[in-house]
Amino acid sequence: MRCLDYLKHLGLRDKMAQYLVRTNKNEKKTYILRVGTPAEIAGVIYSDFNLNLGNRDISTEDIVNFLSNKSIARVELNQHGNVVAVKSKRKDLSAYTQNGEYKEEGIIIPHRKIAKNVLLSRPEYKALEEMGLTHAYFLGDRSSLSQVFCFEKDADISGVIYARELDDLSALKGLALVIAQRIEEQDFIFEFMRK
Amino acid sequence: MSSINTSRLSEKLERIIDFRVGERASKRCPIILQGDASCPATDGTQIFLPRREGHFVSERDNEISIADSTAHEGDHIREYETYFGAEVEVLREQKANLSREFHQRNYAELKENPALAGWIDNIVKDRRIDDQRREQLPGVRRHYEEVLAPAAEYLRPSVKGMSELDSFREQYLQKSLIGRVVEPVPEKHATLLEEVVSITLTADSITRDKEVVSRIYQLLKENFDIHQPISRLPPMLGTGDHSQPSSGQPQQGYGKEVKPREGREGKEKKPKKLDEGKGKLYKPNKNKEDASGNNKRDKDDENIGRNEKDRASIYQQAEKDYGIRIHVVEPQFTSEMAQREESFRDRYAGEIESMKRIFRQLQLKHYGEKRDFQGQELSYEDYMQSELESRVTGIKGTGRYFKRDTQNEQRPAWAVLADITPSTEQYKILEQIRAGLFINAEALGVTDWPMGLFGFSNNVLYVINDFPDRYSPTSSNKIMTLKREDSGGTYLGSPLRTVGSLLKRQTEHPKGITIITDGEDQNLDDAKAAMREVYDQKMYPFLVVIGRKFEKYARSLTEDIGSDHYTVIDRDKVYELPNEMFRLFKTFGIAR
Repeated sequence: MRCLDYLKHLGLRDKMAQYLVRTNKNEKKTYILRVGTPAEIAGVIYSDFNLNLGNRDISTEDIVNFLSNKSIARVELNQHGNVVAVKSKRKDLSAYTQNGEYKEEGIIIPHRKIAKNVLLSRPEYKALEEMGLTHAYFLGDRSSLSQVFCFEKDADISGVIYARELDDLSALKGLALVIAQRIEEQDFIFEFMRK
Repeated sequence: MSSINTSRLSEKLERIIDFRVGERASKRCPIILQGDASCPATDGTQIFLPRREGHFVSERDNEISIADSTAHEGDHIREYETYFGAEVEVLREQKANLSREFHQRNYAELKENPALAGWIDNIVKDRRIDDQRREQLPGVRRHYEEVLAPAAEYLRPSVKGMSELDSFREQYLQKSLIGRVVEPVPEKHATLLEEVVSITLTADSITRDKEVVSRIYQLLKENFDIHQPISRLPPMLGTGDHSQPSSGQPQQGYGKEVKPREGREGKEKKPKKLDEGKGKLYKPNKNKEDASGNNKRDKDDENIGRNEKDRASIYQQAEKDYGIRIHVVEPQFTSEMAQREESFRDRYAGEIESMKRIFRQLQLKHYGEKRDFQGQELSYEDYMQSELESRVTGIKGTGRYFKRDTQNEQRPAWAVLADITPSTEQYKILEQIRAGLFINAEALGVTDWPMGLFGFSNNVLYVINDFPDRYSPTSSNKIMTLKREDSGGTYLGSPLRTVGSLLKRQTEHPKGITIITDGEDQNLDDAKAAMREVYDQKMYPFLVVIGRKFEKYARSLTEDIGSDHYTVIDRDKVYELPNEMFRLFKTFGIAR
């Protein structure tokens, strides 16, 4: 069973837009998918955010249009006190800071990061365990996002983003939350590689 | 000054292992945390790291330092995996130490001083992997240049007063790993040092190590008397221990074939901490007599004789004071007793083993190390100097500014007093009490804490193991033999006071008495008063009641001293006794 099918019964799926962010270790890419029938690729990043020796410039990655390959936004990693910052047209769309704050367009958004064991203690999320659930973010009304569920299987991570608006910018905002933990865990490696 | 807890960074450090060794390497190469002052090390499979890192003022510097150490050990593992190839899996299945295996395969012919060969190998490997990592990773190079190198220089010892070989080794280490020598090199060794360092620089892969190490070893052999045992040098900051051959295990002492340095006997790696567990602190001069060996046994025999006489007079006094009869249980080495002991040991093996491990760790953690205590006289000169230096350099000093290092004197003394009255003979409670006594004694026996084991029934105190005696097979035999030799009757008051008087003589602190009983006392008020008396004398009585239905007795017995002084164990769960004991230890601050 796919996690999106499972999450149907939460009653959110019909009301909200869903996006899926998924890294692919073999292709060394990250896909941002607009969930629907069929699912559409909203953007691609040429990195799976897993650092290896030989990585090119590690501080920024472009998010590009899948067909035209033109940059639609940019991800900055471990810069200016942010773990991840997503920028579009030189403006901060969202950022996850080193202090654990989540910002949208520069404004701190109240949120709760829920650990796996807390989520799994509730019956409605029990079945997500086998899908590799790691943690989730629940965001307040001030955010254009509602919930972000993060998963991990082998070396790949994915995140389901529930957005209040059907707008690809919301997916880009959620990207910061989906990859934040992966970047945080590689904090030292970034430090090692920084010139 | 801030030190960081390594366990807090475990996920990030695992990522570094994956990054340096290979994908998912952190699963097969786990991180093992050792003591706070331990050095980073590896056995080719596991990575040993200190539990805390606090060399630097800045928390970030400490974090990067432990991360760099992890990367360093990860690089060692990657090299060993390259060297052994497919064989590495077989070796790991055999739980072989890859580092030791490498040494045995390559340096077996360097027989005069294998420890020296191992030490050179360490330097050669560390120099190579550190250089490579700094070349690949600019952040590591920057951290090394700005933080590690100055600290490493600061922490290296002076070569003044060292033997020629040790002095040369220290300067070789400095030149190879830091890139410069802190103190001037003696003229006669300057060329040799240059030559040795230039040979070291040619070791560009692990396959060349054998040749390079052998050449350096030969040069040292030609220029120094290498038959002398090598002494310990302080570890090089960030790259682990350089005091000895890389055994892969932190601080294992001297290698098998190497004699210890002067002034130490072969079997005596460290000075004895305590004098046979009798509660007195170790005094360095005391062991001088031991070296002669001949007088020791005679003196011990004399002491035993005197102790027995002392003990007899103490028992007589106690009998007079508390109106009690003291009966020393005699061992019975019969096959029946051996069988009974064996069955107990089999039945409770898991509980005993797990508790032994806990007590062993507790003993090491709390009661072995030298510590500085607040309240001792501070050496202000050292303190001010160290503070100034640390402010200027940003490197944390040793933190030992007190005039006297002492051993931690906090050692508990413990008594176990078991009820063997007729009431316990029903429902096999006595058998369970005996099991409780046995588990308790076995678990405590692993420590060198003074321990007294007693039974009581009808104003008779049965002595199984008194405080000056070490727990031994005789003690366990006595537990099995323990049998009431009186008409019965439960009177806890007098036996408890007697045990309290014996325990009070011990210098250790804290003091506790575990009372294992079914709780039925024929003189409850007297028992309550005795509990209060020993409690007032700063001995903690803990009542362990076997059988849920006796809880009300336990509650009333301990109501004067606090409700947390008793615990109830179900009859069929006597195996929980050591855990309960440990919980009580934790509750009262004996173990944290």
